[in-house]
Amino acid sequence: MCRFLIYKGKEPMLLSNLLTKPAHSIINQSFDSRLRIDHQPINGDGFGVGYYTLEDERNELESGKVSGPCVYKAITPAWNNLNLQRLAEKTRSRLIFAHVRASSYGVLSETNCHPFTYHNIMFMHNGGISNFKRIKRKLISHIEDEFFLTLQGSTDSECSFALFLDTLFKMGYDPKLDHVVPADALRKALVKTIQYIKDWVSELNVKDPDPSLMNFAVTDGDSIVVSRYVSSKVDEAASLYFSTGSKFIEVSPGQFKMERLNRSQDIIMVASEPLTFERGDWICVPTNSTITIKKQTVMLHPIIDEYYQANPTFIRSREFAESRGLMGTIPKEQGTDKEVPPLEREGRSRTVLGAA
Amino acid sequence: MPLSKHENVFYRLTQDDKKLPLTSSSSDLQSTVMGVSPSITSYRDVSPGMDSTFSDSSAIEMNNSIVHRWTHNQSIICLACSSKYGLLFCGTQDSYILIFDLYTFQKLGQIKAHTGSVLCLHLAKCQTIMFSGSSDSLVKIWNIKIVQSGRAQRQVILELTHTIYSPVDIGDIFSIAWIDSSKTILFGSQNASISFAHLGKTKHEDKANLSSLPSVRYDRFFDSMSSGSNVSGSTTPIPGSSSEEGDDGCQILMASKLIEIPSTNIISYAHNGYVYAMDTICDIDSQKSLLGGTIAEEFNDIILSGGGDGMVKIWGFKENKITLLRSLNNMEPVLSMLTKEEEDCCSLYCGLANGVVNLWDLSTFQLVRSFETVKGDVNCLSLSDTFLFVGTQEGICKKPAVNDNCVRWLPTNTACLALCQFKPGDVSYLISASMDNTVTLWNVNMITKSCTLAKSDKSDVSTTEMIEVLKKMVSFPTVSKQPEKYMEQSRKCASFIRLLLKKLGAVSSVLLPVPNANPVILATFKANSSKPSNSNKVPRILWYGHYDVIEADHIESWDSNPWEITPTNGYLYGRGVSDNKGPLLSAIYAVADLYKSKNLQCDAIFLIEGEEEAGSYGFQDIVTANKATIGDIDWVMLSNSYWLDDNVPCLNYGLRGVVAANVEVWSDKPDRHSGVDGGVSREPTIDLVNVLSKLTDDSGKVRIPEFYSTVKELGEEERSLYQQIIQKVQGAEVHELLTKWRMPSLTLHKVHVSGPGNSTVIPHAATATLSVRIVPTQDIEEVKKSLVSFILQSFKNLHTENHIKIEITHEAEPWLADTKNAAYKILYKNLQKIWGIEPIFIREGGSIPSIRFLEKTFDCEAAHLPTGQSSDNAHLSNERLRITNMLKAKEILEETLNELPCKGSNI
Repeated sequence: MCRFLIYKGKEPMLLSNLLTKPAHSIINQSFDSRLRIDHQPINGDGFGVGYYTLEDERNELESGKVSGPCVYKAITPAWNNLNLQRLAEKTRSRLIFAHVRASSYGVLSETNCHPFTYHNIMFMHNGGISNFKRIKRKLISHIEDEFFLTLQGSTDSECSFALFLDTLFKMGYDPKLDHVVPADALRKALVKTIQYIKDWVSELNVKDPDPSLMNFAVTDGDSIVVSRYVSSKVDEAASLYFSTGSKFIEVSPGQFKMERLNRSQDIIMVASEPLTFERGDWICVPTNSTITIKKQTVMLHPIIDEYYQANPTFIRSREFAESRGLMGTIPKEQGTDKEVPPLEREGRSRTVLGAA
Repeated sequence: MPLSKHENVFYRLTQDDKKLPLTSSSSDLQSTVMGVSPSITSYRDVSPGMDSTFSDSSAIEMNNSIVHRWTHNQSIICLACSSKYGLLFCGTQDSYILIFDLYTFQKLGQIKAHTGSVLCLHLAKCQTIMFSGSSDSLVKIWNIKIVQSGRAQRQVILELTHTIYSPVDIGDIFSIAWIDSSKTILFGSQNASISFAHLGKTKHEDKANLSSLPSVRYDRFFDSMSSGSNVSGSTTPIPGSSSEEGDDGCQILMASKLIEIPSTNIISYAHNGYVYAMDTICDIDSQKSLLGGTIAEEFNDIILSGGGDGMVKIWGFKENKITLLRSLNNMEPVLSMLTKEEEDCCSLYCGLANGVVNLWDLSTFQLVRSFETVKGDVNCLSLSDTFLFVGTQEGICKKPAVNDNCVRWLPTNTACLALCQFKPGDVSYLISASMDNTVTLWNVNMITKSCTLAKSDKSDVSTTEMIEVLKKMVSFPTVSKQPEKYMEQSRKCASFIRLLLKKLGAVSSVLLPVPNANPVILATFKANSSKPSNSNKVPRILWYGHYDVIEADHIESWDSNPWEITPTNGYLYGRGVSDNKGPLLSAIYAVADLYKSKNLQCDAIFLIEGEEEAGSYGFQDIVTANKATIGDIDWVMLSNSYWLDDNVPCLNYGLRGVVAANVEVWSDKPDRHSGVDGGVSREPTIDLVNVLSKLTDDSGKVRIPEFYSTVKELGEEERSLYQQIIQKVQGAEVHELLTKWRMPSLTLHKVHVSGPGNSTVIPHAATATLSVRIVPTQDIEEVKKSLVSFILQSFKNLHTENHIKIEITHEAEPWLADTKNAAYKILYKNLQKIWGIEPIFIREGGSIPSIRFLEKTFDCEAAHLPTGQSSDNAHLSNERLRITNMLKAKEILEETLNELPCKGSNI
């Protein structure tokens, strides 16, 4: 189980405003993950950040040649990585993927850290595919050699990426040509990838299978598609939120707020957990749907298959996680002063800059 | 804030001027596609409804089209305007709904309506019900209650009737629509859904629960932090029930209810993007409707929704069911929509995220035109009779017609967030909200330059005209103290006023030349009422005012140009608006409106001077010389001072007089060096200081003999007037007011010495400037005499060889009116009636020489009605006048002038 974060902005954003500074930044999430379904709030098995540099952006405009994103990964816990903090203070980008990992499958290694890349395409996964071992061979025999050969690690996530690339390729968009893929095609390829995996797992005919959690995020450097999916009609998918607005402002140290002066979506963030505790700023992505970011516009599409719930008020249960004994404790409401930043209250606040 | 200037007005598509229209912007491209090829001539000709002033209007005129501007400390995101009631509602980023009065421009109030940004407002057709949607995921419904007591400023109360929430996390609410016939509210939200609810039916409300509100209900993430204020039901006040019947056919909804949207009323994925815009076409008449297909036959009401997915969807609404009928693909996110049903076409305008406006024909569902305004979002659209207004990322532009390439930008620099129309009568106004936290009211028709031509006899027309004329008057820098700089401007202003009075109906209006000074205007309106007056004689009332102003030299301390009226937050800013041009126009227009409606029951004589701020130089001579022309006068009236505070209307019944003098002491010797000649002879400066020191004793009391002896004791009756004041005016203290208003005082203004002024010179001469403020019981001649003799005596006692000279530079008699006379009785009654507040009687420490002079000259009494508030900053920077005060002064005078009797008669 992992956490991820996606930023897409009209203006470049300083990485630290997403990764380190906000009260519930992805680095804080790595040790204070509130929504992880298995409720072991430590995402300490490495992390990765991928972003497209501004310089490359300019070069691409001139030469038309893309050079792929910059990716920084490490297997140390994110909160212990001073290099990440230093880089984040000085790096800006318009499109950022970030991921902290708690390994559910695969060993602790840099090759297993997200985001995965292939040419200009980046991919992340938050969730887990049930009985993945038993469909792995099927998956690998399904895909073209060139995508099989990209596999360096061992995880379900990386294999899903290879399957996605293969699917995209078979739809007529060769990812190594670095052409911009229409957002619609990107979305269809991702949904198709989910459908393959879901179908293969159900073909196993496992009795009472655990559902697979497939929150995928993919980008070709232009559009972004993120899915929130669970292969169950009654269980809830891993959490996914998004927030849009005109400015992401730091109102006081560590306290960020999404400013919405107008209808523009100049800033778009998608994250496994909200980065701030501003309730009104975040909205959850409906279960079994995709969120597509095309230019600076968010679009939502349902994934309609046997697990789709047409009734929008249907409440999916968390039984899946509970049956595994991993429901743990949801931090309970306590009658404390709302003004006190929660991390501080719990004695876990950290001054990121002070540590450097 | 200085208004933006010339450089902001330009043709954004001006390159097109040099091009043939066929090769220009996308609109022509589109028309070519549609098989229409406009020729050059048709392009020139097609300008329906484009008024000529517009086509060549200058930047200044564009600025003039700003009628008023309001500011808030946060961004204003949405607007709703009730033309029927002249009210403007603004939804703000900091969750307020602001209420403005569009007749007086005054802010009537604000309420914290939501807990998040108020993103959309919608008014029902009856204009008594308003809907607001917010980023707190709630829709609230408000009854607009207007409380009008007499003619006082009305109050507007927003009464919450319904709070609607969705059990689903829908995020921001961007758009609201209302179908009146079935009492259905629909709203589009961030999660791409459209939800709807019926207000008539109650069955869904059973489920509704305060603890299910989005801000309160348990959320795995947000409630993991803490509870605190988040959890209490405080977010939504649900007041007790009270149902009321509206008068004059207005609908009033039942008392406050909480409604949960039932799951059957949620259309998930109504779009695949945020549902930014909604509109309805209601009560469709199948015989007349031009809607395409069989829509008109099948549905009474249809809904249009525009989304971030670029689609406009047309939904039919019938029997609680919503059916998708059509989808129109705009390819780009639809941020704003506007439908227009006309006799011969039914069209839909869509503002897109790429700066394009698409025009769809709803009879054929075809895209007929599309044109680009800017790069960036088209946030809002508004349509007046003659123009299409497009609110964009870069400002507001207006287009005379969709097929006309001419695009003109209104003078704003910032992104426009919302637009709406205000059409109280013939005149059309545009209201815009900008990113810079302002809301601006624009005159669309652009007031014509000959602003004295009234179009109708409705009083609000003359109100607009009055403000327009004030704008013109303030643009003349009529600084009487600096004739070398401003003499021409003063003369122009005098001529302007003279012609204005003539156009408004004065039988005679002339300029009386004053030697070496600005002219006096004398104009007479004759009674023209057919109503028989009480006596044979028509009362003759003289209005005294002045058109000159104090200088505005420290321009850097002004927030706006002092010679240009800046209308902001219910006030007009500019030099002279309060002293005295604004009050003067209130009087002029009171008379003019009575005259125009053939209801003027008195003769009104205007005597307007141009040297008041320079001591009314030459005024008395001119009036004396023209006494016969002016004729017999029953009352003198004026408005040349201010209220004691900002809230309680006042009547002024007393002014102090003044005697100003220069005292000079000089020696026969020249300036000398103190190191060389110090101590040799008596020094003029020391002599002067010695003399001055005798004027007051150690406690500051004036030592001039009999200085205080004539001051009248404070009577019981008078004391009660002061008691009333301190009860009503915060911070007023009796002893201070008594000292300021009814005690004489002496001030030493400056002491000046001859020579270079360095510290080794013995000046050969020294001059002091001093003045004495005197009160009504003091005789000005006596005061002058005792002042001079006291100084001379003090000087004589010095036994010095130096000389002394005393020169009286200025004098004004004190003035005290009888608050029991007919004029004050009538004024008191009318003030109370029109302000709805009991006025107070005040005096003032200052002096206006002309009042007592006019009283004596015409053997009558004067009445003084202050117009402005104490915060008007008269004589200071950012002088201002509240528009309400100006309008009320006019109303009060309209009533008063017709009631005043002839002098000597009692009422």
